[in-house]
Amino acid sequence: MFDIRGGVTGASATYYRLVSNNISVLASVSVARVEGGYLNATGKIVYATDSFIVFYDIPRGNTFLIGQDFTNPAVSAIPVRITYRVSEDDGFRKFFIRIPDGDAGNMLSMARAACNSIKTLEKACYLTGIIDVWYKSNSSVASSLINSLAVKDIQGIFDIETVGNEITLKIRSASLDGVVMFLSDLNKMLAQQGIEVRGIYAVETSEIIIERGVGSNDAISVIRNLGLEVVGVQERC
Amino acid sequence: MILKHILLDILVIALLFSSAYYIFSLRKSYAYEGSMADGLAAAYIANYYRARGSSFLAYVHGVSNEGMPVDIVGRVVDSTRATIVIYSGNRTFSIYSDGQKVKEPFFKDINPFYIQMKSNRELRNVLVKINPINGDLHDLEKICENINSVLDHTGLRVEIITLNFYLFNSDFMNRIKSGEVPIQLILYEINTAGMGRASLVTSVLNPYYLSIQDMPLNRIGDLDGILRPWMGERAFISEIEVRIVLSSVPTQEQISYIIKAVGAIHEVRYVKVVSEFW
Repeated sequence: MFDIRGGVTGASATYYRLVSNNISVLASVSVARVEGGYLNATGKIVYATDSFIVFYDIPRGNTFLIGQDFTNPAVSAIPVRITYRVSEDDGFRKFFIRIPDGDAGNMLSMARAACNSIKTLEKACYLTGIIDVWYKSNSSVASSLINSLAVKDIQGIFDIETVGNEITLKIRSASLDGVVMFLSDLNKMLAQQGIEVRGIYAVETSEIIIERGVGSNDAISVIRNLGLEVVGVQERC
Repeated sequence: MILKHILLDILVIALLFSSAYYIFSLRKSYAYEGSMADGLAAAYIANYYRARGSSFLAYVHGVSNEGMPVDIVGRVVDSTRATIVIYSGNRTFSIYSDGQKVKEPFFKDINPFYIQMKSNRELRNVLVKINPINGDLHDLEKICENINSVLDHTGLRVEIITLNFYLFNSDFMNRIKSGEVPIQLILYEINTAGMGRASLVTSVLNPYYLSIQDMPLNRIGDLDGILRPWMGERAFISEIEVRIVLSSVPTQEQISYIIKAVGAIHEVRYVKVVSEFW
């Protein structure tokens, strides 16, 4: 059991060092929530950088973004203490799936199909990529409004840019349900303001499925049967 | 007694030579090692030594956008204030750490945990500057192929060819201005596919033009495929720099031949053999 008090950077580097050496890591975190209050949770690290940890809380089945920069709207929890319980194999696996570029609606339905094809109670699905909403000119959208929508809906790393007639959502390990909800809310908001959308496109999208209970080979074959490419499997995560 | 002195002298001379060799070999090969938090320091060191004629090989251990641990070994083809650009496996990777306030800190190619750089000062890079072209990207590709065939003729193997250029097409730029082109999407398509770094630049003379930096030559078809649906066939391509890394050090005769033969190509403005592009 490791006790990491060096902040997110050390915790992330230690996590990847451990999983690179084929060791399973179960993380226990004590965090201060951005909206107030204190939370202890046990779960898996979905994705980690030198500034962020996307954390899957197994018992509660939800996701939050741990980071020290509480001014970043995507961050939902500030770490107080992170401990790792390491084991040879705790049964959790990560699958990395490539989803073809194109219409965002198609991309989301493919991601949803892949997620639903894994039949187990202990699973979570995440998206990484860029979604570009291109709308007709002579309209303007308040970026603060879109950011508020994203903070409400998306759990994971995200960033929003509004340039010209485009709203670009950059997501990394954001929960699939949250992204679907955000796009639906955004569409409603644009329609309410009378803004006509020309198209919503997805670029360089990939999905992470983290699960326990389905064998690797079974999971890979059901995902491939959907016509999707499994680009990597992490047997220990 | 005399024999003992002679042996002692030989030992001292041998020690002096080996120390000198050790010191010179260290001077020849600067090394940098650091954690991801030192990404800025790594870029600074790369800038400092590249400006003084060292070229770098880099090893990066990190995590990809998808969340998989990755290891990259490649040549440093560019470095800016806080970014190191590495060429490996037919694509370029931009490396910098999250904490740095650079223009595009979010969507990088790889999140580095560990960086190691090794330098040498051997002349093995060819820098070719090309006159502006009124044509398409295939015209540029043809010129680069001509340069490549000259290098082939010398018997030298080319390791990498990358391109820097500006691209202007008035119809395309007017359509961007009026919101008829999803330019952010196009830029992300280019930037996330490892085709180098694309950005839209504004200037007084040309309201908008595309700047492409560190693009591998063999990705020019991919770039054309992305731009073609939105842009007419012809464009004004300017500020063209072709950067060629040779896999071995050329001899003096080979250097003279390269300068003479590449310089004789009609579109070439000048050619230089340099220890590092700067």
